[in-house]
Amino acid sequence: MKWGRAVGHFVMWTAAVACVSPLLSLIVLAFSAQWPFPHLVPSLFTADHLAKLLLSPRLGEAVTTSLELALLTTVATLLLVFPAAKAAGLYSFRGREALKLLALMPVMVPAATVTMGLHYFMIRVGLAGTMLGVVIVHTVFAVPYAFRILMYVFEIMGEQHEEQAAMLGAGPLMVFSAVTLPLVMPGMVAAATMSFVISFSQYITTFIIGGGRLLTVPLLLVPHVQGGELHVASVYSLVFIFTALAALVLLRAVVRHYYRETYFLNP
Amino acid sequence: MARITLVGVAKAFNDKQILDRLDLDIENGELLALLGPSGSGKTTLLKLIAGLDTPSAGRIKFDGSDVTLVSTRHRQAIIVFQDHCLFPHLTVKENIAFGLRARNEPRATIDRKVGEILEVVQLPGRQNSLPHALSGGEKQRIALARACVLKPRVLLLDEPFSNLDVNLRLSMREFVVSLQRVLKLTCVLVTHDKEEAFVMAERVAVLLDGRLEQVDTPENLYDRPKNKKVAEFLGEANFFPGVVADGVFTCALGSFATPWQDTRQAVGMVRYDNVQLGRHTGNTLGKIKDKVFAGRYTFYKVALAAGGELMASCKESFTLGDAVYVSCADHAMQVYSTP
Amino acid sequence: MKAASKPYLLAAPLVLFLTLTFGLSFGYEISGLTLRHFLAVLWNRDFVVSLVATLSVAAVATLVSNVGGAALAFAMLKARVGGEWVRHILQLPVIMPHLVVTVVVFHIFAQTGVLARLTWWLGFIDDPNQFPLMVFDHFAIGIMLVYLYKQIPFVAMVCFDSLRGISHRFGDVGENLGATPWQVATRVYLPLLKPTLMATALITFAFAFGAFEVPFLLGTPLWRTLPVEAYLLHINIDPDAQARSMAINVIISAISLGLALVYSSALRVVSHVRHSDGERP
Repeated sequence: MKWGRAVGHFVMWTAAVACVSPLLSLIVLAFSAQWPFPHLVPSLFTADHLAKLLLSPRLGEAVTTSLELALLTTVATLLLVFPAAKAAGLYSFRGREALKLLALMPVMVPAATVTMGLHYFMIRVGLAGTMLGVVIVHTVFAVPYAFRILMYVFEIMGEQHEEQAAMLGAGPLMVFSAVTLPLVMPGMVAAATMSFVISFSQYITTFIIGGGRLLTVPLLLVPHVQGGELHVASVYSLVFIFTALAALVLLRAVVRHYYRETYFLNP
Repeated sequence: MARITLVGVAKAFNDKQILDRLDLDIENGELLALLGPSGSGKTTLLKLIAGLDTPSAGRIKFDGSDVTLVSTRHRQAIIVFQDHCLFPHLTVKENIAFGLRARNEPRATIDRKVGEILEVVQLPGRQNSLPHALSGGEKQRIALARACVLKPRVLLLDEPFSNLDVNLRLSMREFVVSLQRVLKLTCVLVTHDKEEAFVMAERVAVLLDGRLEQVDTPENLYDRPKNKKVAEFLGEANFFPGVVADGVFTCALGSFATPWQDTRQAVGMVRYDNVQLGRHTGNTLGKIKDKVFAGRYTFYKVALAAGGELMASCKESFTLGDAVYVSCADHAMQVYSTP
Repeated sequence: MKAASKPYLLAAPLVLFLTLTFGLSFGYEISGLTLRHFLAVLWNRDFVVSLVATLSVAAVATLVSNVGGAALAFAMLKARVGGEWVRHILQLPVIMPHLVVTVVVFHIFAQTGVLARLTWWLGFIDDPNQFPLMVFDHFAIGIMLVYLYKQIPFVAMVCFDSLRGISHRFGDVGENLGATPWQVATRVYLPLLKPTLMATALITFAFAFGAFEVPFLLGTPLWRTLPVEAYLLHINIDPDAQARSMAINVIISAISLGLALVYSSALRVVSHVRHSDGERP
């Protein structure tokens, strides 16, 4: 049994190093100014170039647009998914399996494919190149993840707490705000996180529907990857990661501020 | 508090009959136990009374007025579940205040009532704890307090003690009975535990396969089960097939008086503790075949000389192989006619 | 008092939203097409190469990431570190956007990348061109690396959660009955893990099949994956190219739909077996 444990540790540590090292190499790359071929470490480190890139107005625009799109997508996703996930998680009804399959479809059908088809329609109704158009497409692809998470949370929660609240005389509004919402809040935060991250990392959907009128961080990043300017790409990548992280930390902090930290679903 | 009346209440799910036209009267301030094995429809009936579900047929009345279609929110019939169902994100005080807040009672009234009920359930000082910090018994008492503080028209207890350990269960039984008397609540206790039903309730309703087979005081139910099904369910019963003729039922255990004057096939029932075993006198002869010591009693399996076996529980001590006389008093023999 | 229509009303907005978006997308594409378009696409050698390549890349990525992920999950179970830090580290690749991982793969595996420098220092190569081509290569190694980096930890995390839920007592019982650790893993845990692995395999396959950015940026000029092919035809102003793009998209959708149906029926079989074991309700 001893060596089994040792092998386990070895595999795990290797995996952990493999997971973390890309991020580290990205940080090194972002701070490097000169790094010709055979050198293992950059021959010159500087923050000047980094600062110049970070202060460029295009980056500011891209970050703002990305955040706006991600926030709108998150709100739209939660509004659509919450009731449907509740239905699938709590009630048994004819068509429940079909609903679950439908909500899984955006994972199955490639984003590029769906978006190209929708593009024709959006051009016709004037949604192409608009914020709304892009939010609609982002929402489609955020739905499956949010749906799964919330459905699972509703399954754990069960119907009993809502029934108990109604028996004690609470109206629908009070049941929702005082019982249902606080109980599923951890799931809501997780679902919001997923929706946010998914919208934030969209490239081809934004590119097709936005038609060049909306600049997001991935759209800013891709040409530099194509052009082989890895240094610039690494800086934008870091901005990408850290903006998303900061937004998510903020979201959690806000939720924690309004709801108690302990939501025990178990008796 | 209210008097609860069920008239022909039935419930079916997908063509499967769960409850079959029940009629039941629960007196104002009474504690009635609803006794039945799991799957007999007890919890379904409770949910119908609470308004969590609607009956497929029949009416439910509180104090004579029909509440069948009144929503659970306005019915004031509150279930306390086995797993107590306290809101995990609310403190004890907020849990108890929940229903009062729903009724928009002023803050001062809420504080006063919560304080009072915490005294009644003997848990003052726990107001600010979250449910997960409470013990099993405490949680159950808070759940009771949350329901009782609203002075419900009927309090419905769904196997409330089955998650508690034995000693706690005994003290909780006493506690609930006294609470019900102090607050003069109409109360329905759902349980599958005969002893619990007998100890706590003024009347016991036996529910088997969706039918109410007998509603009676514990004493009557124990001594005179109405039919073989109820007797079997209550357990510790011997059955003897036999014949009734001229007002006398004759079986392997002897002859017993019955009110029936015609001739018919019948089956007699004697409880283990109503069987008398004697060394020298008795109706029929038998032999001790097996013996199990169970504390207060010893259970004996007796092979009758005339054929057949029976079980008896008594305090006397016999050894395996002993010859014994078996007898049974007239009034202890229940006779049911066989269809 | 629950109305029978309640779940339908709750689900209606989402159902409407998804059927509308998918319906409009699919409907528009298929409406302008005739059999001739499909035949033209299917007859095309490039398309066949694309189809085979896309499916192969997806299959290999799925196989490697699920075997690797399950193995990693077992390793974690064996090492008995259910600690939060492992989860946090494994979460990093899962939340890292594909684009960023693409940048890293470039940086590390290109012919002038970190790995090439390392082999130069070790004296294996004298010139960047001697380093094996792993980006823009015909075998899609670069593309695969991105998928594996993201998907192995994903599969491992899902499997680990599932294995922990299964309870180690099954393993103890197995060993108690005289099974070797290998037998415990293959005969006890693996069958219990089957539904989980089916789900992760589906997700990893669907992603690798339909991904756009990664093959777009790291792919060889020799062949393209189907979504990239469809996209390049989509932005072509030639109406005939656009029609071909639509036809390819319809074929992609049909494959995805078939996959989803196979999955849902397979899941029903598996969960049926599980239920009949009486292991859980």
